[in-house]
Amino acid sequence: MDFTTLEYYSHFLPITLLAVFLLAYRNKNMQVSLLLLSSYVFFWFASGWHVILLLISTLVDWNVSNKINSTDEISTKKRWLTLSMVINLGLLATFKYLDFIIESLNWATLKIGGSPSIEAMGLILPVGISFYTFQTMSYTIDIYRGKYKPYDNFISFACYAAFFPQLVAGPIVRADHFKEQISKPISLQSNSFRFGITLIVLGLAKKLIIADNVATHVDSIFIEGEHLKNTALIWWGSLAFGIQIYCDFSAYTDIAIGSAALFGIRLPENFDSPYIARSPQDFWRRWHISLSTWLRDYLYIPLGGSRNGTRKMLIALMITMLLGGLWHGASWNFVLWGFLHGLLLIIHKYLSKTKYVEQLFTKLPRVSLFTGWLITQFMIFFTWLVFRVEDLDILIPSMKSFIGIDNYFSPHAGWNLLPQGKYLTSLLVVIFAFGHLLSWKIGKFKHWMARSNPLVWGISMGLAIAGIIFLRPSTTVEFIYFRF
Amino acid sequence: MDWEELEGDLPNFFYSLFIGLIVALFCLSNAGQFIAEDEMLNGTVVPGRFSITYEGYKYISNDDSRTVVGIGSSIMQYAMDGKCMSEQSEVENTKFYNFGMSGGYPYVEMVQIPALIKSEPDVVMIEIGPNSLWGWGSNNYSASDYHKLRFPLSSMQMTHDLTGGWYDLLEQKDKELFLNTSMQRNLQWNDYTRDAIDAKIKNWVYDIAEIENYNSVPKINTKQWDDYLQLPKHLPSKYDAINESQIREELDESMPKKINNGVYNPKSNGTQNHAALEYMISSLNDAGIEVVIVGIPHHPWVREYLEPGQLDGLNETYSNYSSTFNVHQIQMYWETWNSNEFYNRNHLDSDGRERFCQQVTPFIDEVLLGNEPLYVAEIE
Repeated sequence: MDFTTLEYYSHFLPITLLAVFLLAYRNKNMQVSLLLLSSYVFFWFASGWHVILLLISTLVDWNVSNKINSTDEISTKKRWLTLSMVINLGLLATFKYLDFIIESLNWATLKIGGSPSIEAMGLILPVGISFYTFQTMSYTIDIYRGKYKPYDNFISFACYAAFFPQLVAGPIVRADHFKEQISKPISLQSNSFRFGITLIVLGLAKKLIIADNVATHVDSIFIEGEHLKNTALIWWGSLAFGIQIYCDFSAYTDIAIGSAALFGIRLPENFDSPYIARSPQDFWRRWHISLSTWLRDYLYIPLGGSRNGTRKMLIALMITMLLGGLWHGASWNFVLWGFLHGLLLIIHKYLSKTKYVEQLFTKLPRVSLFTGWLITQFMIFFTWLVFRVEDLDILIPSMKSFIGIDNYFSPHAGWNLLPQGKYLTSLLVVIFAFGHLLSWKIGKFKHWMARSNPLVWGISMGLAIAGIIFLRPSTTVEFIYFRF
Repeated sequence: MDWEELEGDLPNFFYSLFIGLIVALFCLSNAGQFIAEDEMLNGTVVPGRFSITYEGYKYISNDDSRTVVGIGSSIMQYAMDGKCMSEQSEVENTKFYNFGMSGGYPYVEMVQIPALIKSEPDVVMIEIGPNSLWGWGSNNYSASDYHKLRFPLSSMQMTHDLTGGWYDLLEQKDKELFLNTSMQRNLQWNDYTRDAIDAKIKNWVYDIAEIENYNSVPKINTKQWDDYLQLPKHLPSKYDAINESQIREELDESMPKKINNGVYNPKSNGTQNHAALEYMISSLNDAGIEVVIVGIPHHPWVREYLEPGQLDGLNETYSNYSSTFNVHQIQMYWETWNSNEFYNRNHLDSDGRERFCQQVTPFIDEVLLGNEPLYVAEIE
């Protein structure tokens, strides 16, 4: 069960809503308990016995944070914090990276003339492990830092760790933010309900109409063949993947935020029109915001941030981005992706301080901003190639073609290779691009829709639901971030 | 944005939910057919002729002329030139319509019989060849991709009065492909809307009214549509483009693989296709429609690859049906036609259609006049 399955809307969500609002009417503790129970049920249907790992992570951080809170000795606090990190990162490393490490060691052994002797374990990646381990770790670290007091009871904390809308693919929520949300009884509010339904419906439309249609183009382009030398096709593939991953991931977030809103719980936004970013730094303020702020608060700043001079700042930045890339998946292409983003951030930091660039922005602000946007987006979409394509036999020719090496440029030949539905998909890409670029001027469409008068809202939601059914492709693509 | 900024109370909220539900239900149950029907019928969304059957029969039912309809597989589709036969016929005001379908066989074609009867043809020609008389075991049966294509299409366009005894002859898994309510039929159109919208955008971009290719079908109720129902589109003859030794080579390569298939091992009775044929013939008989069973020849060299008696099931079927039902028969399968009359090993080309027209039309004329003609095959 996930956000695109009928069971979520026909069974799971209504039953949970009824239970929370009717069975546990105005009883805060019972409501939180029911949310916790339904979250574990949701996780069970998503990942089966891996729910035990969620429980382990929750129990570890609950106990460790209480131990940290109960002592004033720094060294004792540090030991408990270390324990939490070792266990959480150990779980993550084992289930997510162990086979990657084994395969890399075997590859290295082969390269130096040896024979690989370690067999991969074949471990299945538990759904959401990258998200909930980071979330519970952030709680323990915040308690260690004395940012806030621990949760009053285990049920509330466990509910925070497992809250089903954001459990599987974020946004990564800070504990104090969630604690505040469940500090009073949840009651049915028409405005939060309306907001929630708006986000859910528009999220489904983004996922099933745009992301899944565009995915058909992406899948048909990034396969082996001479066509990879066609720069026009590779640019289109990169653009399509950038749109796919944004619409896919932001749709998940919207549905998560919308589902939480039905219960009167606010989750943070995770995206802010990333493709209008005018610099790599701006991009990371707009893309997967909950992860980038987590990395900033729990990795970059502890590594020194910008406090210890430029050289150390750049090292901290690169380490953060490398690990951020690796967080996405156990594959070298994600490490490369993180490296490229680290490089872009470093280059941007360096260039933005040069006199030449400062003068350019003073004398020609609009041209400079536009140029900055163009270059930033060109590089961002180049990095999406690295993110999408794991096979080097496909990645290397694609990268070369993208930047104009060993290539040809034929939009017509590229167009003929695209699969059925290309006219509709291309129109969707144009509509998306238009809407996204305008968002800086007119604000988010989903908020405008939520604010519209009841008749307009009702008709729009009805048309959106019909549009989803009419325009979705025959096969639904799994949410991309489920793989992480 | 904080939802606290949103105005509204519960009654307004439920009102807007209700509106949304009504709009969604209305669109989903009606708009799908409106969006997809044109592209369905013109061969864009579903390539070829598969969607034309019910509209075609509706069209024929409004035709004042006497009508002769040919049904069967692509063999009938390639053999019958309805325009030639309409011109050749000496019975006034008679038109010949070709509803042969690529890949068709009696088990699949039987579902159209109620609609065919409703269109009130005077004569129905049913192609029965070796490819019509095979069957399958019912244990572990699974619906083929062809059934998954044809049956839902038929079901979508079928109204309640067009169901019939054929339903009981279906395997359980094929029954599941049929939609039982008009709501389900309406919703089924939604599976084709995406491709239909894509085709509409393409037409708008290129400013073309119709996509002209082998799979395209003319707009319904036009002159071109009327012509198309009589004479479908055909590909250029493959055998005309190669010489005799190349034909021989092609048959040497393909026939050994095919001779053990069901299409070259017809049974004499008891198969699912036999049951379908018996339903078709008896239903047409009961409706007072003349039935002609037609055997269409294969390339003259095909029989060299078969064992003696391998096609006895075909002869026995013809013999059984002639004595059991009220049918006329034109058995041309055993005639030896010329190599240059064939598109490939089992389909006729334009020369073959011309010969078919010349040989079959006089026989049909006799049937139309109420006579009991006897077809004498030209066996060498």
